[in-house]
Amino acid sequence: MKRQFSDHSGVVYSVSALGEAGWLATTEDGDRQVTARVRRCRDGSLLIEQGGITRPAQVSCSGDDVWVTSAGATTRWRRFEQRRGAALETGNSVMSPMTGKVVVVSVVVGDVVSKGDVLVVVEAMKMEQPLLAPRDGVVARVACAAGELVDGGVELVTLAVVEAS
Amino acid sequence: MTSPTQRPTDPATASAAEISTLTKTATTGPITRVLIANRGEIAVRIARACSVLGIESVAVFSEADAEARHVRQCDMAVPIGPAAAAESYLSIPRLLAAAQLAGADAVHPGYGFLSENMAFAREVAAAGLVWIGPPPAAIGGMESKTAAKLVAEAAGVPVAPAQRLTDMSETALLAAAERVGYPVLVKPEHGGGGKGMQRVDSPSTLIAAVATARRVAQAAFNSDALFLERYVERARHVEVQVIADAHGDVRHVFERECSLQRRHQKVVEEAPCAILTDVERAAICESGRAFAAQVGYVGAGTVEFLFDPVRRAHYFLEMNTRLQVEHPVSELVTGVDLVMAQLRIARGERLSTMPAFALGTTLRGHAVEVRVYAEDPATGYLPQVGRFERLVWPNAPFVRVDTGYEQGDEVGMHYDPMVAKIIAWGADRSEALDRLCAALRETVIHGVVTNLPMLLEVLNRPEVRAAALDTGSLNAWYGGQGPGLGLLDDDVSLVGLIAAGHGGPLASAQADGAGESAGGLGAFDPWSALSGRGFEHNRGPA
Repeated sequence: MKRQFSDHSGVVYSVSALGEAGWLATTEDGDRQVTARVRRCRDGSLLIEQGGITRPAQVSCSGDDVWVTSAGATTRWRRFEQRRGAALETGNSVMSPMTGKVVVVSVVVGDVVSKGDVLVVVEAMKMEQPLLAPRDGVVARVACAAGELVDGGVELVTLAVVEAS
Repeated sequence: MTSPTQRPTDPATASAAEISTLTKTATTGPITRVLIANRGEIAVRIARACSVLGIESVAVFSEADAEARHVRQCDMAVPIGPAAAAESYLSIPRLLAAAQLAGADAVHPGYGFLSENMAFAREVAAAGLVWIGPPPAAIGGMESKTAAKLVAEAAGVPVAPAQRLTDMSETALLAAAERVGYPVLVKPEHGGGGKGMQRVDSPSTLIAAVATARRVAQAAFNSDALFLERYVERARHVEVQVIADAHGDVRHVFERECSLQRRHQKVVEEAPCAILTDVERAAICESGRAFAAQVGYVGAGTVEFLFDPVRRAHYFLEMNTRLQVEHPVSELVTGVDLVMAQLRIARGERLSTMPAFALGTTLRGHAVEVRVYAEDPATGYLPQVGRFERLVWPNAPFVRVDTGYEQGDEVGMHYDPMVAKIIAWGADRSEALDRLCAALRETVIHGVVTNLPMLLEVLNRPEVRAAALDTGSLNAWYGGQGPGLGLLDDDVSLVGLIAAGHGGPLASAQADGAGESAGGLGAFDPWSALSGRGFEHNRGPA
């Protein structure tokens, strides 16, 4: 369950479900990310909780555009269609970028994932780092579990090539 | 009810005395049903004033406006033709036929469209209807700026050094510009909105500028008559609201300043003008009043001045013989309902019998208005069209919103791009600005790009806070492009991105699958629906 959006300059961002932890928004390269939980109010507006703080937001769709107003500013996002099976999507391993604690494991062996899906979330120095699928594929191996401490540079998830259907 | 009987006089050549006599006849009479020959927010505004006085309102609408806000606001409505304004809102025969069909006994033209069209005013009166506006000849008399200046001189109102261009030879043009003094402004005699106006700083560019202005004026106003006027550096646009009954009582309702403009389109307006002393205010307001009295004006009008902040002098610019877009700021600082006053004047009532005028009008506090336009400052102010998927107007103390749009309405390409005027009052200027900023932050507009983010940024600029502005400020700050929608530069906007994943209000009402096809993340909500649609769901097909 994941959606990608581009801003007016064409930069692509992702939103993924983290289960009980709520939702994760990241830049494509994973450099910047936040997690938050969402409550939808009866009038269609949203309340977004992040780190114990709830802020109101308003959202509406207009064709491929999604309009969001939060914190007094309005942003227009455009839904971004994934280019499935594109040549640049390579790599079979998802590595831990740092020493930290695995807080979420979103996949089990056999799961079909899309490029950009959050597979694992690692936390260090109070910062959560989502680890995204580098390409479309099937999860071949999961080498960690939630709550586990891992070193940097360790392979946490291995992907296998998905069979053409 | 009286009808004007004079033959049309060419306003460009009429003397001040001729204009004075021409304008003496006003049409007044009982009013029970008003046809509003306009659309959008001003039609809504007029319908509201009618309602207060127990007068019925009749909307007119083009095919593009069949479900428009102003149609829903009025007591009844009449279709007047296709979307193109020339075949509907500008069609005098169709408007008169609509008035007859609806049994209206008066016509209010609003602003724009036919509000300053002398022929329309005459035909309304000739059809036996009360024209809620100035006498037709006053409209005609003010169409020529040169003639208006003669009136100003007769009324003892200061005018900027100017020269009408009759001899178009190179030597004559150069001599005329020399007499006026550089920098000069080349202006068309007929017309407005800044079209065809050009600033010339030295003799070397004068001849080419005049040639261009003649072409533009001919194309836009069907007349290539031009005049030169002294260009006032860092000029402030100060306009005096005047109001006169049909019995010769002429008053001013203080002044407004058109603080910020872009290519002569007003963006921010306020009342009163922040930089005038009490003595200067009294002088400029009296100039406006004296001018209106000189032309025998009846109804609401605006006398525009340039204020030279260096010489501390005001110069007559022109008179607008209509209700102005920015009239609400005057209403908020004086308590005068200008539209209601227009209606009562047209019924023949005296100002002295109206509560707002009976004890004299006083100035209290400060009001600031911004105009929300459907345009994208980031792309050079390209006009925007679309449907307001979400539209939330501020609802706060001391804040007023005049708009012709509600959520779900569409803004099309046929008419003015103004979406709303948002106005705030404060005990002083800074309080008014703070209230207005808060109101803009409360405003939500989805589906159509507007200048709302730019307005917020502008109102917070130190120059605006210090009232250190002139009519060229916006251009100096932003050039041809302004700030657009929010940029993704912090985690707060990433949080907003999570909201984007939740699509629109419709997505919540639909089943999860339908929500997804609508592009949102469906109805999934980890706060209230932890079971079944959370972590487990995210694992995908096993």
